[in-house]
Amino acid sequence: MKLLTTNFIKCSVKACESSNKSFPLKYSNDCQLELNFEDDDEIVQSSYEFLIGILDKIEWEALLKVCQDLGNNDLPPNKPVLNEDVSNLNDNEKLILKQLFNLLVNTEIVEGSMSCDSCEHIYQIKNGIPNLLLPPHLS
Amino acid sequence: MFKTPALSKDIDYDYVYDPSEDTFLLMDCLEKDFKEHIIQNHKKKGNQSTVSLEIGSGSGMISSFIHKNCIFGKNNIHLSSDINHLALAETVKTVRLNTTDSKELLKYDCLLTNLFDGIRDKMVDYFVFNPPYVPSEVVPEKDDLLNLALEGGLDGMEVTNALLEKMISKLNDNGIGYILFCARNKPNEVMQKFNKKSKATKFVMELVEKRKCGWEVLSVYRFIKRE
Repeated sequence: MKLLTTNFIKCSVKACESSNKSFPLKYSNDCQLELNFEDDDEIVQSSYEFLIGILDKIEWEALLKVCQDLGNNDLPPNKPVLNEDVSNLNDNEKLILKQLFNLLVNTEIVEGSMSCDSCEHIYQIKNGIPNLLLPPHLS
Repeated sequence: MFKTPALSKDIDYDYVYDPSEDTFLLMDCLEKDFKEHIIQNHKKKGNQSTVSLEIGSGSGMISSFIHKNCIFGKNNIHLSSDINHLALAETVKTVRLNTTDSKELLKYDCLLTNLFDGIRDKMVDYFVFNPPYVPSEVVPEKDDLLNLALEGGLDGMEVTNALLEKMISKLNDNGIGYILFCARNKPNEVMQKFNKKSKATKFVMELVEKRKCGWEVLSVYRFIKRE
C-alpha cells in the first residue's frame, strides 16, 4: 500500500465512526517499507498536477503522524502551499514536489500492521495489501 | 473505443467471479459516461485530484479498464477493493498485466475491505459497484467466496441497500457512483424511493443504460451527489 493511501483509510469498526482517534491508524514500527527513490525528473514532473491536486485532499497532520510512526520526520510542519500553474514553479517548489512524489506514491508499506487509537483493533498489511476486514464479532 | 483488458489464464473461477454481460455493460456505460458526463463533472472540481474506488473488483477487469483508460481523468488515483482476498490478488495481477510501464502504477492501490468500511468520509469522488444482485434466501456466509459475489439476499438488494446507506457519507461533493442492477432488483422502485429523499440526501439516481442480456435485463444507474 502506498503511503498516500494511509490518508484515505481509518478504523472499520462501527463504534469508532464518530471518534476522531480512529484516523489516522497507528502504524507499528516493524512495518517493512519499500522505498523507491525516483531520480528521473521527467517522471516526477509528469505527476506535478496530480500531486498539487491531491494536496488539497490530504490531512497534513495525519500524514505527519504516519510518517513519524514509520520513522520519517522530514516533512515540514505545515502543508506546503504550491503554485497551481505547473509551468511556473520555482526550484524550491519543485524540490518539495519531488519529496512528496517519493514519499506519497513511491513509498510502499509491504508488510506490517496498523491499529486504531480508539478501539485498539489491529489490522494487518500483507503483500502490500491492507486488510480492513473485521472478525464476525466486530462487523 | 477503449480496449477490453486481458485476463491472466490461470484465474480460479471456483473462487473468483468470471466476467460476463454485467461486466461488459458496466464498462460500456463508463466509456459512454466518460465522453458525455465525467469530463464535464471534472471541470467542477477545478484543479483538485480525485480518488476512485471499485468495490468488489473480482477478476480486475473493470478496475483495469478504469485505470488503463483514465476513465476518471489523469489526475485520479484508482483503488480496487474486494472482500475476497483471492479475488483481490487476481485484480492486482490483471491490472499489472494490462500495464506496460511500472510508472502507470503510481496512481493505483488496493485494499481488502467490505463495501466502504475503513474509508474516510467524503474521500471518494467516483465509485463503481457490480454487486451480488441475484435474489436469494440469505446473503451467503463470508467464507462462501464465489456465492458472495453473486447472491444478494431479498430481491438481490440487501448488499446494494447496505452500500447505498453508506455511500451518503463517503462520496465527496459532486461525486458520482455507478451501480449495476438486474430487473429482479426492481430498480425503478428503488429509484423512485431514492429520489424522494433527494432533498435531504442531496443525491440523485439516474438511468445510464438498460440492456437485455440473454434471460436477464440489466441496467446501470448513476448516483450523483450535488454540492
